[in-house]
Amino acid sequence: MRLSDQAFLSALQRNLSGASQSMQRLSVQLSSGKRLQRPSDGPVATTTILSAHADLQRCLDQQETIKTGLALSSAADQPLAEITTGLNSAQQLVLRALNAATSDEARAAMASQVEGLAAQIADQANSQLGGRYLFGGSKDNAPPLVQDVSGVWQYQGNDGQLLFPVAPGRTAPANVSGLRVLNFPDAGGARAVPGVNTDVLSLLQTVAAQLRSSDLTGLAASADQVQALGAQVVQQRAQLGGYSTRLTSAQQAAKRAELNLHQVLSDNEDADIAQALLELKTLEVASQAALVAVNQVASLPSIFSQMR
Amino acid sequence: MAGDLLYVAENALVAHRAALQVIGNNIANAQTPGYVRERPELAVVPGAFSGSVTGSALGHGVELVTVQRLQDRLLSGQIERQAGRSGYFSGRSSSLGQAEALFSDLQGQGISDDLGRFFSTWNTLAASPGNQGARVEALQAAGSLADSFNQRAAELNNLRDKLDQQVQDQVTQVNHKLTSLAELNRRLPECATSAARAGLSDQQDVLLSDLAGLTGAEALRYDDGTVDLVLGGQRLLQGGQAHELRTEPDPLQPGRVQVVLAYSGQSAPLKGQIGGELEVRDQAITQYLSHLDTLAQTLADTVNPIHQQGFDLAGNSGLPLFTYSAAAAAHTLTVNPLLVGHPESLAAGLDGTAGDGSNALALASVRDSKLLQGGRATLEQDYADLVSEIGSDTAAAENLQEAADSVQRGLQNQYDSVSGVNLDEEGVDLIRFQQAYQAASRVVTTALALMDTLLQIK
Repeated sequence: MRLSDQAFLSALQRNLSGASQSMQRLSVQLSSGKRLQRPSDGPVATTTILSAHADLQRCLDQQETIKTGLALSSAADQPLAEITTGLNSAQQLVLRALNAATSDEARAAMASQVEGLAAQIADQANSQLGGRYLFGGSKDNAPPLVQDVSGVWQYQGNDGQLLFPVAPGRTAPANVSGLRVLNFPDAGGARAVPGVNTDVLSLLQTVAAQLRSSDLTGLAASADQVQALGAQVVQQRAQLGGYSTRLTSAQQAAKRAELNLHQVLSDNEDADIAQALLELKTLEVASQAALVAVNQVASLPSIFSQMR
Repeated sequence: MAGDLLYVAENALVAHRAALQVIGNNIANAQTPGYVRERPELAVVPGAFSGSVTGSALGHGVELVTVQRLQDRLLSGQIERQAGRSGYFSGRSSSLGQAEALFSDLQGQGISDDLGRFFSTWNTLAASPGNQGARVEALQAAGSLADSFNQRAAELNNLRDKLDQQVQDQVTQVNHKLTSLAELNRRLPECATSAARAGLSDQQDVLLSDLAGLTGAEALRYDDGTVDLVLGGQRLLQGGQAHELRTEPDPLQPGRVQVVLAYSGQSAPLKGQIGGELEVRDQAITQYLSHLDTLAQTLADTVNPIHQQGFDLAGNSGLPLFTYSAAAAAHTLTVNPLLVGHPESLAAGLDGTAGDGSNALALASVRDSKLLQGGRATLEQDYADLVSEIGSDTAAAENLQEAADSVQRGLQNQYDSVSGVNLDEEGVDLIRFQQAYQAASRVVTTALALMDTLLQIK
């Protein structure tokens, strides 16, 4: 086919411009590390990438909130251990007091110890983490235990659970309420421990009074109640441990999902550096060859240079 | 006899000088867009019977009978039609490319990111409902999300305004070109020579190609060199009369313009670049805006009742989190002004206690609700589908433009193989006619020598 000079030069210009655009595209891929710069570079992959980013964000959120839940449940464990210790100590004191060899003076001293233990237990039940009271149920912005004017401990919290999302549509609790731990009555008057119609602190105050009055019969009954309430604290601690395990397991699952999503993103989003480099090199060579060709064609002696 | 020879030489000198001028013109216009190369057509000047030479008629040399314009009319028409198609896809891909650039979600910016952050902050608030920082963050994320919707809708509307303005400018260009073509239609039949007509025809071809690219109009060519232009059955140009286009407010789309034929007031059935741009303005962008509106409305309509069923830190019932106007939800979506600056009024719980984040949790779980596409897509998936759709539309338009351009290049190459200037060819012709001119000069010298010889006879 006959070739005009304009067509020849236009083709050269178009090819050089095309090579230049391709090299620019590859350079951006290499510098950003991303295969897609705009949705039209891969419309299907765009949906996958944006969905994976959303899922990844959800995963990271879950891990973050689970971390908060784990922090709360971990923080609650130590106070529960202290409360258990306190109740164990109280029970030992009651058992010693029931011994006929124990003097009234010694029992009075024990009463003071029991009162001290009650105060310690109340302090533990009012533990907080980052301003949140651990045993107030969902009412976590005020101390759950408050002593009224007559010295009786009142529970101000509720039985609410602090729920944390562990998977889409699923939550897990991260707290046990003081109401259940210390056997306070709920709104309907029901208590967590069947047959024990008192809370831990009232019971210890009763025990202290029984020690002072050497009411051995009353002490014997109280000893059983202290034991039952101690078992309740242990049971609540175990339940908290269960919550903690579930949260940990959910966090591990979220971490695994995060890894998978990173892989999905990498597959769809990341530039194949080796391939991009190879393509860039090929284009560089082609572009240089085209430039050499242009120069050679330009330096060819034309018919006009032969004319005199 | 010497006189006859001088006459023959003179004819040759004139003819070859004219031929050299044609070649020179080809060389001069070798890179001029739209130029069609010309070829001098030489012919023998027939002589009268001469009695001195029995039985033969001596020729009177050579003359330039015409300058032929080397053009394939069929290809020329195909190129114009293809220019209309290329222009249409170019208008579409360029406009869609501008729309696509507004959705920079792959770079981690945009509604996708803000939507994710919005739900993240409610998730965080669910874990720490009494935390003032978490409340401030949730409120700010809601504001950012609303801003993102507003911004994207405003940018799409701005793009439509820009396309409106672009179309108006292009209509002005079209009218100028139509006027120029009408002027050429008046002048072409008056041209006495083919050489004079050639330059005007070149201008005509360029204008026709430009108009086809802009409007998709097709040319009807006549033997006298004039053309009429037809756009979807309507005449844009008839002889020396240009029927201009006009832009006027579109009654169906307030704030937009429509292109009409000035003489009839009827809507112009535009294709080409303007047609592509108008199609993107009226269909694609409108569709994207409507998609965004649905998304914004669904978000607000889903989130608001959840927020209203909860209680804030003071135990008050929640207020609607977002407000919007149904006519343009994405453009008007905003955080309830009664909540702005009052993070404590966010209804994170259901029982009014500080540690209850169950309502925040319910709101965060909207992220997983399949609310759109007939219960098949979450808000985030639906938005990802919108971005993908925009990318897909743009990629398709770019591919079609590339294909149309490729066809046009092929046709143009064929056309150039006939009409384009090849400097080597012209160089050879230059030498050929130069040599012929030199030879004719020698004939003059010879004729003069003959005359001298005669005059020296004593």
